[in-house]
Amino acid sequence: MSVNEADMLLERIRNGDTKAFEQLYDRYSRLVFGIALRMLGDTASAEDVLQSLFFMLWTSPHRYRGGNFRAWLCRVARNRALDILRQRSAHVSAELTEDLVLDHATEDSLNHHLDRACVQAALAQLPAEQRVPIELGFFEGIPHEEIARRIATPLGTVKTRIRSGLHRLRKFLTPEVAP
Amino acid sequence: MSDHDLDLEQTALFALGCLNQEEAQAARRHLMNCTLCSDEYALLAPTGDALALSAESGAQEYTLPLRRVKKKLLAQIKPAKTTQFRWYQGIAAIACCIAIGASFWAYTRKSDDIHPTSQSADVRLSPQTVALLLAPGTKRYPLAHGTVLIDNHGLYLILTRLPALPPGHVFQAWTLAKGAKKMQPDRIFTDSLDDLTAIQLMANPATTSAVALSIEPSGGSLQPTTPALFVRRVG
Repeated sequence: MSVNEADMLLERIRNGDTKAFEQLYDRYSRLVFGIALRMLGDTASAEDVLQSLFFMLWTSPHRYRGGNFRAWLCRVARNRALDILRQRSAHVSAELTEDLVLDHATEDSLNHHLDRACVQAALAQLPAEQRVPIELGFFEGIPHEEIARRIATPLGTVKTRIRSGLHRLRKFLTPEVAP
Repeated sequence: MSDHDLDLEQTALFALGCLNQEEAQAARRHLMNCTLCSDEYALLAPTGDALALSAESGAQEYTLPLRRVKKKLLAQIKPAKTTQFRWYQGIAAIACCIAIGASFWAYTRKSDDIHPTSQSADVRLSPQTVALLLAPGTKRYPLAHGTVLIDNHGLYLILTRLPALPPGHVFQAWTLAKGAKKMQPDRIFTDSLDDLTAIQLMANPATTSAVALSIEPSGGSLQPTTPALFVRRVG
């Protein structure tokens, strides 16, 4: 489903079209559920995130203000899972901004053409010393100080590894979108 | 390592979403004034977003929870098919009631757990609903403008003289399961001022301890956002 198709479905949803809602759900529910399940580790909580997020899409579709819908959806799903993690633990990082219109990162086309398999393959190419802190930070919402403590590595080293790991990951992913 | 390298590292952490609240706000402010870090963020934020794609559920074993949630969502968002009984539709029902005879009237007049409004409206109900009211096993819980009915098959709301809905709003029923502390969203429906509405709720009558109704924004809500029109203990 292209970005434009998602936008068109959302426009129909704004007009109360339940078929469009079903189509959007069928296309993106696995992604939202997968993110929530990966972050929360239990099916019931992941279902709660999935249900509340799609219900919000139905009742408040204006919350999506444009940009890359899939990237926005991922951020909202992550933020909702972070809310639950925050209830479980004090060590949870800040939410990512959901307003992609104001976030010029949305101009990047990287996310448009990727899928699960190629991101997983790119992650697998990262050395563990970079991959582990990146995954802890993103999927468990752990702030960098806590990551450093958990993997018993100096904070400065963790920061450097996360940055260099993200650059390397970008390099692995970029050929997929080369024109 | 320069000070700016530290800022760039902080920007990478911000793009990944692993700064605490205060650090994230500071990073956001810094990005507004620093082109170098802003460019770094533009480069790395989509990479961070792409990480989420690796979690997409591909396993067939998750088909069931996905279907389950879809079913719940569709029940929430699709307005319940309300059965509206108007005068002209009620002719058959009236005939049916006449046939049922004086015993019906004696029964309902003696019964003080049905609101008078509901009694007069009941004459216009369908034969099935009259049968429901007459069934010995049916439990009735009166409301100011209607009745909650429970039988072995379901939980029903019979409502009349509902207030006019503001534009863009719906009525939403809520149910409280026995032992639960939080109301669960149930049917949503729209109705006009003078219509009698009979709807079957989704909740299991055997495990429901209370029923409520509120006015919610179109599409319904996950939690009530306005004071309840009524809350009725049942069961």
